[in-house]
Amino acid sequence: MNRPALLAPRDLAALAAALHRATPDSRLIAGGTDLMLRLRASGIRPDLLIDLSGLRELAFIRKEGGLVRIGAMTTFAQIQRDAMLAIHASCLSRAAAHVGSVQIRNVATIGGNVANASPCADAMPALLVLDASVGVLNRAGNIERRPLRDLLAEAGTTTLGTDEAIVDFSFAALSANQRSAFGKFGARSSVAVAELNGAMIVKLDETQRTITQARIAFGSIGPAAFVDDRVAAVLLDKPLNNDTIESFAQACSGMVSRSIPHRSSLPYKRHAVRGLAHDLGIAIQGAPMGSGAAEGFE
Amino acid sequence: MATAFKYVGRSYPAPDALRKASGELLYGSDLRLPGMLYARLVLSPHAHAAVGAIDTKAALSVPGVVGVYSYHDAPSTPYCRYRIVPGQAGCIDDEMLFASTARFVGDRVAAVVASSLEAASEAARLIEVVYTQLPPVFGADAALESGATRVHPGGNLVHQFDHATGEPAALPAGAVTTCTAVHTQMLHHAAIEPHTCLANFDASGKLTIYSPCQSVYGARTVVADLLGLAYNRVRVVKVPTGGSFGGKQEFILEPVTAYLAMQTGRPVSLTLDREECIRATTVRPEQRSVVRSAVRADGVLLSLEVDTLLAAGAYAGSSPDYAQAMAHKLTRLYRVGRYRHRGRVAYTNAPVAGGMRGWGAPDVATCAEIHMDQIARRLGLDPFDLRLRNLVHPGDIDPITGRSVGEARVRECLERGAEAFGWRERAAMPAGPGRIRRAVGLACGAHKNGILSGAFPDVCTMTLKMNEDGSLDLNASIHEVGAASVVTLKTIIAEELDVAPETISAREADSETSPYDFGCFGSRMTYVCGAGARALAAKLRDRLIAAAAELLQISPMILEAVNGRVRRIGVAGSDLSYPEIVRGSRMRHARDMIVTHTYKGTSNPGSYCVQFAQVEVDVLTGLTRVIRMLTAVDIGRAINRGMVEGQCRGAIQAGIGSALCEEVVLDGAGRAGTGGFKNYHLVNAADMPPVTVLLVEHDGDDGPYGAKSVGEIATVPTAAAIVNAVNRALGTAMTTLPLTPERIVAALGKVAEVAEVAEVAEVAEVGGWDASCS
Amino acid sequence: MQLSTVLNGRQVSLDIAPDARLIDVLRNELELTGTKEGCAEGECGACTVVIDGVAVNACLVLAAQVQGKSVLTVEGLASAGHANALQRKFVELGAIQCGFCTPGMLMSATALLARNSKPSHDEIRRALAGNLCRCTGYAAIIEAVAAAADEGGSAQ
Repeated sequence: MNRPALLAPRDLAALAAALHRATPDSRLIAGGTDLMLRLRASGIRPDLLIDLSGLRELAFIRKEGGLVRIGAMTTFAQIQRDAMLAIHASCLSRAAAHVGSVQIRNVATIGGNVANASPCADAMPALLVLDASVGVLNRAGNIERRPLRDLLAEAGTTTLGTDEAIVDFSFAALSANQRSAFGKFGARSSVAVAELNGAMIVKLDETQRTITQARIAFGSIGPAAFVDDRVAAVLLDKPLNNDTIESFAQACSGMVSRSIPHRSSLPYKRHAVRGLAHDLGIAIQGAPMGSGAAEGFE
Repeated sequence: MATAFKYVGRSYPAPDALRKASGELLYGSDLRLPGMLYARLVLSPHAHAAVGAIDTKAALSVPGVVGVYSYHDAPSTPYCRYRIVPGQAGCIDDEMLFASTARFVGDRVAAVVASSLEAASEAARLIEVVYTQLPPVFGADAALESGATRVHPGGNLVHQFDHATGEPAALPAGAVTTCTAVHTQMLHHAAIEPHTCLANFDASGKLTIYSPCQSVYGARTVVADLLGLAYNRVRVVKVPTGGSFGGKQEFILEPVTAYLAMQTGRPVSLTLDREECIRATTVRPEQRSVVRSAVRADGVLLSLEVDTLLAAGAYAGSSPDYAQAMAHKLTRLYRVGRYRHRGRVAYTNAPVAGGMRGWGAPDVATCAEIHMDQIARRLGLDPFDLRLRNLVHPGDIDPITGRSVGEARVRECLERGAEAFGWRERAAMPAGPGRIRRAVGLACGAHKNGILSGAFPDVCTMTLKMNEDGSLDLNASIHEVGAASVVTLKTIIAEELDVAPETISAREADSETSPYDFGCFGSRMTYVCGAGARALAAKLRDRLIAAAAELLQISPMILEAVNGRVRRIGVAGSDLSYPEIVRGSRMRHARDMIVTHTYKGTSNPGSYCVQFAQVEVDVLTGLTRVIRMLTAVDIGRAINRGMVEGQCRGAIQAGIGSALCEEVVLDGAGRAGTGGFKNYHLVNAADMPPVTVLLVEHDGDDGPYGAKSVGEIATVPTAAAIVNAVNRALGTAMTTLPLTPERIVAALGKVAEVAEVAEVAEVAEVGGWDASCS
Repeated sequence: MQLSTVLNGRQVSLDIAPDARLIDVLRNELELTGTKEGCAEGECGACTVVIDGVAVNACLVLAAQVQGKSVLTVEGLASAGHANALQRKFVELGAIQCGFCTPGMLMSATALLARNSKPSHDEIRRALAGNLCRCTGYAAIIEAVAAAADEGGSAQ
């Protein structure tokens, strides 16, 4: 039986060297929670497995000035529990708390979640509204920064090359007048694939009444998560109250109709997205400001 | 409680609980025999196809592969996976070891045997089968249309029946007729242990099968008949079962594993993965029943007619009996002058239907109890009152079977349950106008106690031996599947002999060494086997007393057995201990303290359960949360109280799934089970509501100390109670299970449409429940 | 390749295939069959083991990924043949029926109690949400974990 070769780089130089050997049949393995399933289901035997789990230097969460940086090998359990993220990127904290089970969150990484590019990946809408950029290491050992949205391709794939690996994510920490929220629902209240998920960031004026900026992203609608500016526009210059949220919910329905006009799931998702919109609206009203106190999870 | 029990009614751990907690207990897939090989099945990817040439070259070149087997070399004798008793009526021999025509996605086409599981899996992927696809037929309706593709040469109608009791009568003035069409879905048993089997064929020509099955003698019947072996050359050993729920009742892996062991002359182990378990073992059948009733204006049932169409899937299996079982439930539950149940069972190119917890009872209760709520809504009656007006009374005769329903305490379950749940108060609360609607629902269910039915007997044989130190060995064909049956039997014997349960040892079934028993199904373990154990222990006690009398040279009439000793009635210090009797009797009178007893069941009363559910439905997402449940069970007597409560809660976990989220879905190509548990959602710990268990205990039935069955009945009304609660919360009339968010949103859309267009108060009338009645 | 790991407190070294799953190495190479396989997709939790203090599905991890780490399986819970508090409470409180989910439940609970010695019932339910049980309806399992916590957790 053909066994794959296994490389377990311990630092970025070794990772770059490993990427040199990678072919289209090679696979990077981070937490493994998606890849192990894919390999098993497909029966594909890679020629090379590059195990990233020994890259301790990629498991970090840092705030550098106004910038938040998260290493690709940071697990969702670590993100979920991080006090700094709870304030400066609460939508991501909450998204992390909604990923799979305890067992999954203990090994699944943010880098793996993005690289796997599942349409329902929970980290994706949160990272998209945070306008994250992705640090990508190539075989030459150079790290290049790309906007996350440029990484997403159609149908659950990325634009990453065979010889590239995600090393980190960075985004601006939420400012004092910004709030963020994450929403999701699935077949169970926990441990469920998202039927719909989404994240939003709003910026309020000094009086804390009027929304001056809004950014919203959705997952599980179509092949890849996306930011929708038309929906966000509904919130602009509006007070953050129930009426605004209701019109936001209506706009979300329209967004679903535009996004998946031919899918059999349209009638349901068009309706149910209003629930997601209301969840986001309620969460955002209670969400901490960029410098506020942490909220409880789950 | 009238009688004080010493051991009965307390809580005991499951058998082998410590070894389960230490990881030491070996389940089927943990067993390793010297030289053992691993098998892997090649299952049809097509719902209907003729199997042509099979190219095994690449597979055979995988290192470690020992052989590849298919219909090209295996016997083509048809058999029935459900047969327990040789020549059993109602069994249709329509399945083969390997299919020459694949009849569903998952049909066994070939098997690979190799020295490692990895090699077997790799080789299985490399086997190239030439299929000639045939048009498939999905859905029992479509299968029975004229000109439909024939799943089997004889046509798609597997079985039909028409049972009726009472005469149709003219309806009195004011009577109301109601019709409801209810559809219940295919379900996966979801035992956490996947199906597994290990077989070994030794040089003496004896076949030994290690299986976590529910009937060693049934497995023996099927395998020995199929492979042409004498019954005493096939030894089936029951190994620990990691859950069954009826999923291991039929003999799915035993025949093929036995065949592979015979072909290779080495032990062969076969374990399915989760997708295969969902797709290629058995499912609860998909069925649709149209329920029609006539009631007096005050709610008294005048007649009830049910028309059931059930999909057997690709092979008949137990479906004919299963469908027929549905016809034997409602007349145990309600007093009704006229009952008619017609049933049809059809082959389809879908996964094979089989027995599952409750065996038709949850299926028909779901239909009837949704129907009852519809009647209640039309008459403006409280669902509680409607039930109370019609439920059977103790001692009623079930007109379909002609047998007594026994000490049926279903009315007490309803009344005490409603009281404890706060039904009146909760039912009076409005669902609310907001996003989250809240309501309560209830449902009743009836099941049975054992398999005594018509000419079919219920009987079990056991042997009990007392050793010289007073310890006891029970030899019986026990099939422990997670309900602690072993402990139940020990507790009964302990109570009867007045000895500590720990002094009794009991092994599980082994067809070579343990006496005959049908197996663990049909809600017969406690009621029938338990009564058998009690009679057995009483017999041994009588022998001990007789032996003591002989040793003491006094009349046995003045002796009694108390606390592990035999003494003169009421006279302390006049006694012999059990060990003294065993030793003395053997050495002085050449007698052995061993008894065998064959117990014959003579009754089959109803088991009853009434459940109350409170739900919250999100009208935006369509998600339902069950927030509270109460189950009131007419158990007669709880032998092992803790396990009974565990059974009740587990039954509700499964019932919630069947109401809301569990469904084996076929994709357009007829594929089921894709993604395993990722797409088949069991209720997990976070979503499990608090459940109050209320046990109604009493004497009066033939079970040990009055005990009746619990594991099956406890899941019978769950789905209906929840569906009724959701329909009450939303004003909908949903009758297609499960109530997925999509279905709920769609039903809400209909309600809104009707309300807008016609401003009808009774929007529910057009919401769904009579949709298929016209 | 050579794998070195601390397994149930003992240093273990063995040759493994680079793409072998941890569960297969545990069950087949090391004959520790207490870790059960219920779905092979990280959904049922029957294969849960504790790696460096946290609960992980052994079916989704390469054995190679536990290189140099510490792995605890159900076989490592008892000391000198004596069941620990968690195991005893599972037995006593009826948390075990068929027993197939039990090892995974115990390991998830072990990881929980190591991090949170007095979890609320809700915390227990969420910590066990990745472990499916079809027999018990979970109530007795949750009670057993709470009772073990009251007795000082799995350490005793």
